[in-house]
Amino acid sequence: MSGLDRWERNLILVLPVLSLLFIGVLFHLLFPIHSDLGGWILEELSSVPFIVMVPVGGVLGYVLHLLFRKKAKQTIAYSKRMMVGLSGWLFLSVFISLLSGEGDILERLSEGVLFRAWAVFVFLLFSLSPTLFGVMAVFSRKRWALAVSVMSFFLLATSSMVFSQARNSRVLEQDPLMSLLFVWGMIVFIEGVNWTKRYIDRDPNEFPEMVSGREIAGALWRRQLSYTIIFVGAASIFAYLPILIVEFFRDTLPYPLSIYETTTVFGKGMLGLIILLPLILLMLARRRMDRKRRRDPDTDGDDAGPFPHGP
Amino acid sequence: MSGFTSRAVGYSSAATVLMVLAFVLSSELFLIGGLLCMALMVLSFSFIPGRPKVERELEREQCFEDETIEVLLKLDGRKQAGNLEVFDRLSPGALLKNSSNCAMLPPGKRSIRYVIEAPLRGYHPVGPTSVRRWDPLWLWFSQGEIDNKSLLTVFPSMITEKARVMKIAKIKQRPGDMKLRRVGLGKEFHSIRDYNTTDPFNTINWKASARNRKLLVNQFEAESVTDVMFLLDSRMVTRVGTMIDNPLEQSIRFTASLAAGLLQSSNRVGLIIYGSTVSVFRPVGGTSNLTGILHDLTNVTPSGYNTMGATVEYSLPYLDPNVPVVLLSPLSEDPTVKEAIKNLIGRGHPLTVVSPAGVEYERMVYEGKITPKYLLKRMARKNLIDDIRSMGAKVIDWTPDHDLTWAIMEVWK
Amino acid sequence: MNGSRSGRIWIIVAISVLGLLVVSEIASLTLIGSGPELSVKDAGPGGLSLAFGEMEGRADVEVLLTSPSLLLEEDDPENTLFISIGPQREYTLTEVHALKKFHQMGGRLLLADDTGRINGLTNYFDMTVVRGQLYDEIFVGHPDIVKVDDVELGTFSGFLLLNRPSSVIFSGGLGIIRTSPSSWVDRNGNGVMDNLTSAQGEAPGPRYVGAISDPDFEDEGRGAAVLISDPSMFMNHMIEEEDNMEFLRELIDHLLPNGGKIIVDESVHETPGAGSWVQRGLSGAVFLITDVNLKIVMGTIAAISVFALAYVHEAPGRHRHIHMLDRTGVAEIVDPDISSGDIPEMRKVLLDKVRVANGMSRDAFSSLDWDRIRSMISHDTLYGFARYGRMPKGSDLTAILLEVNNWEKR
Repeated sequence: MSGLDRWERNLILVLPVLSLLFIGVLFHLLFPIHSDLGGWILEELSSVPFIVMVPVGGVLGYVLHLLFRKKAKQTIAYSKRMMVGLSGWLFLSVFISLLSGEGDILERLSEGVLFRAWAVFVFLLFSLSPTLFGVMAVFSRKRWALAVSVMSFFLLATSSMVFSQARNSRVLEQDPLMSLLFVWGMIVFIEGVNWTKRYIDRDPNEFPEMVSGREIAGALWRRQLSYTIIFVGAASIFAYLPILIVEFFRDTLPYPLSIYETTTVFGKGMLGLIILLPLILLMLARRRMDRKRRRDPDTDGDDAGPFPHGP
Repeated sequence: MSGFTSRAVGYSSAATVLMVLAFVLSSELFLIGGLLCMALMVLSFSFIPGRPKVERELEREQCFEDETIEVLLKLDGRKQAGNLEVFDRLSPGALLKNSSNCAMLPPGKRSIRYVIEAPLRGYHPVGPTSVRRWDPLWLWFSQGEIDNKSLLTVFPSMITEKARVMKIAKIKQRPGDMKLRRVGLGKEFHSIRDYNTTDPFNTINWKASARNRKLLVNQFEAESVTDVMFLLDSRMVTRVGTMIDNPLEQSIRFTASLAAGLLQSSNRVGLIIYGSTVSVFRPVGGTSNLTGILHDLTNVTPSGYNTMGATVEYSLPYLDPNVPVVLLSPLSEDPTVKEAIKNLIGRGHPLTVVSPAGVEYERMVYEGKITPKYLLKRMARKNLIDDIRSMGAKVIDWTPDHDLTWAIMEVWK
Repeated sequence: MNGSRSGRIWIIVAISVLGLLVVSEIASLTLIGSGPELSVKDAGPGGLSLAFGEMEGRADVEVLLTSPSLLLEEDDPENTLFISIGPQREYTLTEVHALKKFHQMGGRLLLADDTGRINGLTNYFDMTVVRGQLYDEIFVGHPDIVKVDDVELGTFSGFLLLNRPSSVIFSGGLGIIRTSPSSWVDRNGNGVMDNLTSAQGEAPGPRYVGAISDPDFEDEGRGAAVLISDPSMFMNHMIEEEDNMEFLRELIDHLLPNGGKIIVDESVHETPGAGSWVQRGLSGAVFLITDVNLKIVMGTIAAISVFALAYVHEAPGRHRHIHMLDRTGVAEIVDPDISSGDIPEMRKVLLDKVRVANGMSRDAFSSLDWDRIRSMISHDTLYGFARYGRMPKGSDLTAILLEVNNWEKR
C-alpha cells in the first residue's frame, strides 16, 4: 500500500541511474581535456577518457554499497585508515622526492616516482568518485554519498578548467546547450535520489501521508514531479536567456554601443542577474504580502486563518 | 518560523558557489548552473500556500483509561501551489492507536482522522495544530501554530461490575444499604395495612384491596446509608514504577471502582488526598456525584512529602464517628504510619488498608531483579504489614501480579 | 545565547573589515578623477567619435567598459585588435598579464599615449613612451602642432599632424613614424632646447613617434603591438587634419588584414556623471574575479562559507508524537546493594521480624532482656548481629541479609 503505481515506482527507481549515466556522458563531452589532465600526471593516462571511468566507478560503487550494507563499521574504519595512509604516503613521497631528486623543488617533485604514483592514485580516485559515490547514493540512499558525488563532478570540472587556463592560457569553451543539459541531468539525479528516499523508502512513522486513512504518496509525488518540471523549465529560461540574447539577439536589439562585456561570461552573468531581478522583486513582494496577512488576518478573508503566533 | 531542508541549503550554496566560480573561471557551464539554481530558489520562495483554517472535532471529550477516541481535523484553504504538513500535537500521556496525527497533503478542503488511546488518567490537551506550509518542491517551509486546543478528560479506569456483585453478598461490617427491618420510606416492600385518610393514593395496593373489598396500602422498609472515607496517599514516592502501573494509579483506580459501587448502592463517599497538601472532600451520595469524584481523582498529581500522621491529625475533625476508612498507600518512607493507623483505630474507625507494594513496582523497573536492597525493604514492609494487622486493621498487600478485580474482591472477604 | 550572539557580531565585523579592504583596493585601482578625455562617446573636439565611426566602417567594433582582464576569454585573438587611446590610468598587473596573453595568442594591440601611463604594458614589447613634449621645426601654426611626413606603414604616403606629441624608444621593433632631424624632446618641460650633451637630453635629431613591436607578425603568425606617442592625433578636431584619418585606416587594415573585431578600451577613460559609479562598480567586480589574489580569496571565502553553512545547518526535524508513558520512577531500591549504612535498618528488620513472629507489641518486646531475645532468635550469628551489629569473620552483609530473610521462628 505505497500509494504509488507500479510505473511510478519503477520510474523513480530508474531515473537516478539513467541521469547519472547521462551526466557522465555529458561530462566526457564537455571536458575532453580531462584525459590531458591525466596525461600531465602520467603520460599513459592521456589515453584513458573519462567515459571509461563511468562504468568502472559505477561497478566499484555498487561493490562499496554491498560492503557498506553488510559491514558498515568496518568499511568506514577501513576508509578512514586509507585516508590516513594516503596522507602519510603524500608526506613520505614529498620528503623522499625532495631529498633524493635533482633540480628545483618542482622538478624534484615531478620526477619523484612515489609522488607520481600518489598523484596517479589520487587522480584516479577523483575521476571515479562522481559515479562511484553516485551509484552508492542511488542504492544506499545516503545523503552524504550524493553530496560527495555532486561535489566530485564540480571539482573535476573546476580542475579541468583551471588546467586548461594554466596550460593553454585559454578559457575552456563549453557549449551552452550541453551545459544546460548537464545541469538538468544533475537536478534529475539529485531529485531522483530524494524521491527514492522520500516515496519508496519512507518510514511511515517519519513521513506519514495518511489522509482520511488513504495514502496519497502517489498524488504527492506526481504533484512534486509536475512542479519540478515547471520550475526547472522556468528557471532554465531565466538561466539561458542571457546566452540567447547575446548569441542570437545582440545584433537585432537596440544597443547604444556594442559592449564587449556582454560576450564574456561576466557580462552574461550580469545580464542574467538583471533578468532575475524582477523575479526576485516579485518574490519579495509575495513574501511581504504573506507576512502582512500573518499580522493582519482580517484583511484577507480567503486564506486568513487563526494564526496569532503564525510565521 | 522558517525551516530549510538540506536540499534547499545545497541549491542555495550551489547557486552562490557556481556564480562565483563562473566569473572566476569564465565558465558558461557554471554560469548556467548558478543562474538556474538561483532562479529555482527564487521561484520556490515565491510559491507557498496560504494559511488554512483548521477545526478539530473530538468523538467525545471525556473517556476512561484505555478507551480510544477518534479525532477529526478539518482543513479549509484554497487550492494553491505548494503543500501542507499538519501536525496535531498530543499530550505526552496519550498514544496514537492508528492513523497518524501528522499528515502531508496538498492545500484545499481536506480532513484527517486519527484515533488516540489514553492509557493514563488526566486532563490531556489535544492540539494546538502546527501547520507547515511547504513550497511545491519540498525545499523549505514556513511554520505556524493554530490556537485550537481541545481538552480530553481521561478518568481512571473502573470495575463497576464487581462492586455491584459485592453489594448482593451480605457479610458483616460491609457498607451499603442497612435494611433496618422497620417500616419507613425506603423502596423495599415491608407489609400491607388498612388505608387511612393520610396515606397517599399511590401507596394503595389495588389488587389486595379488590381481594379484601377494602382499601389497603403498601408499607416499605426504612433504609439507612453509610459514609465511607477514602484516605489516598499521593506523595511523590507513590509514583515508583511505570507511568501507568504504580501504587498511585492503582490506588486511584481502586478508589474510583469502589466509590462507583458504593455510590450505586446509595452510600456516600468522601475523599482525603494527601501529598504536598491535604485535600478533604466531604462525603457525597448519589451516582450523579460520581463524576465529581472522578474529576477529583483525575486531578491528583503525585507530589510532596506530607506524612500520614499529620494528615490524620488534620483530617480527624472531618471524619464522622465510626466512619469506615479505606487507606490507600504503599506505606513506604513514612515513619508515622503506625501511629496514624493506631489513631484511626483508636477513634473507632473500621480501617481497611489497601497497600500497593511500592517496592514490588520498583523492582519491575529493574526487570524483576532481586537485589539485596529489595530483600531488605520487602522484609521491612512485611514486618510493618504484620504490625498493622495486629492492630486490628485489615491489610491487603497488593503486588503487581494481582489485578484490580482481585484487590476489590479482597476487600469484601 | 550570548555566545552565539557575540560570535555573530564577530563574524559581521570580520566580513565588514574584509569587505572594506577589498572595496578600498578596488576603489584605488579604478580611480581616475580627471574628467573624461578621448572617449569614443564624446563627440566634442576632444572626443574620439569620428575615429570610432571610421573603425565601425572597417570592422565589428565593441567597447570595453570594465577591464582588459576579460580578454582572457577572447576566442579569436588573431582577428582581434585591441585599441587603447589616451589612457587616463595605468593598467594593473592583472590587466597587463591579460594583454600579454592576448598578444601571445596572436592578438593585435594599438596603443596611443603621451603621458607614459602605458609604459607598464609597453615595456613588455620593449617599447617606452619618453616623457617630455616633442618639438620640431616643421610645425603648422603653433610649435605644438608638429607635421610629420616620414611614415612607414604599408602603402600609406602622406602627412600626419601631431598635437603635443611625445616620443617613443624601442628595441627589436620597427619605427613607423619618424620626425625630422630638427626635432627635439623637451625633457625638463621648460620649452627651451637645453641639455644638449647626451642622447637622453634635448639634443636635436630624428625621433620616433610610432613603433611596431613585431613587423613580421603576419608572416610568423604572431601578435603585434603598435605604440603611438600622440593619442590626440585621433581626436575629433585633429583626425580630419592632413592624412590622419587615412593613417588610422591604414593602421587598422595593417593590423587586421583579414578583417575581424576591434575592441576599444573605454575602461581607461572616465565616464561622465552617474555612469562613472556604475562603471567603477562593474570594474571593481571584474577586478574581484580576474585579479589572481582576489580570485583565490573569493574562491576560498565562497568555499568556506558553503562548508560552514553546511556544518551549522540543522535539517528541520520531523514532527513526531513522543509519549512519556515509558518513563519510570524509583525511590527505595535505587541503590541495589546494601552497605554498612544499612546495618541499623537490617538490625531493626531482624528484631521486628522476631517480635512479630512472637506476636508481641513493640513496648512488650522493648522490655525484654537480651538473653530472652537470644533464645527467641536461636541463631548465634543473627543474635550477635542484632545486638552488636557485628558479623562473623569471612561473612558479608549479603550473607547476613539472607540469613535474616530465611529466619523463621522455631
